Amino acid sequence: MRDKKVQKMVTAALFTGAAILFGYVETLLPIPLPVPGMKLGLANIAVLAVLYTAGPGMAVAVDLVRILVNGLMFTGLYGFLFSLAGGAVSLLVMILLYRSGKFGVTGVSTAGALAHQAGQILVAVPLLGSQAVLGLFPVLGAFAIVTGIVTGLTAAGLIRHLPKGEKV
Amino acid sequence: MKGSGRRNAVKTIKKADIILIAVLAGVLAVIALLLADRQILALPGSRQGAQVEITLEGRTTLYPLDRDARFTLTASSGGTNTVVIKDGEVRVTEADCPDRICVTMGAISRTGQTIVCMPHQLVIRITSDEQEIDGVAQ
Repeated sequence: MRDKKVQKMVTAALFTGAAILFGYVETLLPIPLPVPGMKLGLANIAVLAVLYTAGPGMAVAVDLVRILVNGLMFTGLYGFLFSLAGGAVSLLVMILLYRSGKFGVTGVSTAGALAHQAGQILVAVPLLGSQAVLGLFPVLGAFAIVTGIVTGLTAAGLIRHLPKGEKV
Repeated sequence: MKGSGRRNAVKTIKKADIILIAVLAGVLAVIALLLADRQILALPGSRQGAQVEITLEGRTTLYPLDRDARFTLTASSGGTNTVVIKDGEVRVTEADCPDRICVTMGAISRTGQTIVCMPHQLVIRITSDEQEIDGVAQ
C-alpha cells in the first residue's frame, strides 16, 4: 500500500530529525562534562521511541543516520568512530533486551547507555594506543546508569503518547 | 484502536529492570576494582604516585612526578597540549583541542589517575613504579 510506504518514510524522517536535534541540544550545555566521552544520551530517547513504536529495523536505520549526520556536522572523524562503536553495541543490546520481552523501557535504556560507553572505550584503546583509557570506563559507566534510568523514564512517557506505527 | 492494547503493554519499569540495573552496577564495581588493581583507575584510597606516563599517539614516555617540568606536546595533526608537572601534580594547562576537557580535568597526582585528550590521542597517567606497570601491560 502506498500510504504505508509514505507513513514509513515520514516516521523515519521525523524520528531521525528528533534524534539529531536531541543530540545537538546536548552540545549546547554551558558546562562541559568533565570526562571525555561523558554525555547525557538524550538522543537515545528518540531511538527508544522509534524502537518501541516502529521496531528494531527502523531503530537501527534512524540511529545510523543520526550518527553519520552528527559526525559530518559536529563531532568529526574521531567523534564519529566513537559514536558508531557505541551506537552499534548499544543498539544490539537494546534490541536483544527489547525482543526478550522481559524488561521495561528503563532497563533497556540503562543497559543500552552502559553498552554505548563500553563500545566507545573499546574503540578508544586502539585509537589512543593506551590501556589507560579503560580507567575512564567505571566513571562513564556509573554516569551512564544514572542517565540511562532518566532517559528511559522519559522515553517511556513519550512512547505512551505516540501512536503505534507499522512494524518495518 | 487495535494498536492501543499493545501500546499500553509497554512497561516503564519492571522488577526485572531493577535486578538488571543492580547487576550492571555490580559488574561495573568489580571492573573498577580490577582496574584500580592494575593502576588504571584511582579509587578514593589510592596513594600518591611516583611517575607520569604520557602516551601521545601510541608512544609512551615516562617522567618523574617529583621533578617540576613544563613542556608542550605536539600531535601529528599539529594540535598542542601544554603539560605542567609541579609540586607532585600534573595538569594540562593549555590545549587547542575543541572541547579542552583535558584542561578541565585539572591536576592529578594519585596512582591510576588519568587525563585524556581524545582529539590529540593523548593519555596522561600516574603510576607508582616502573616494573609493576610493564609487567602488567606487556
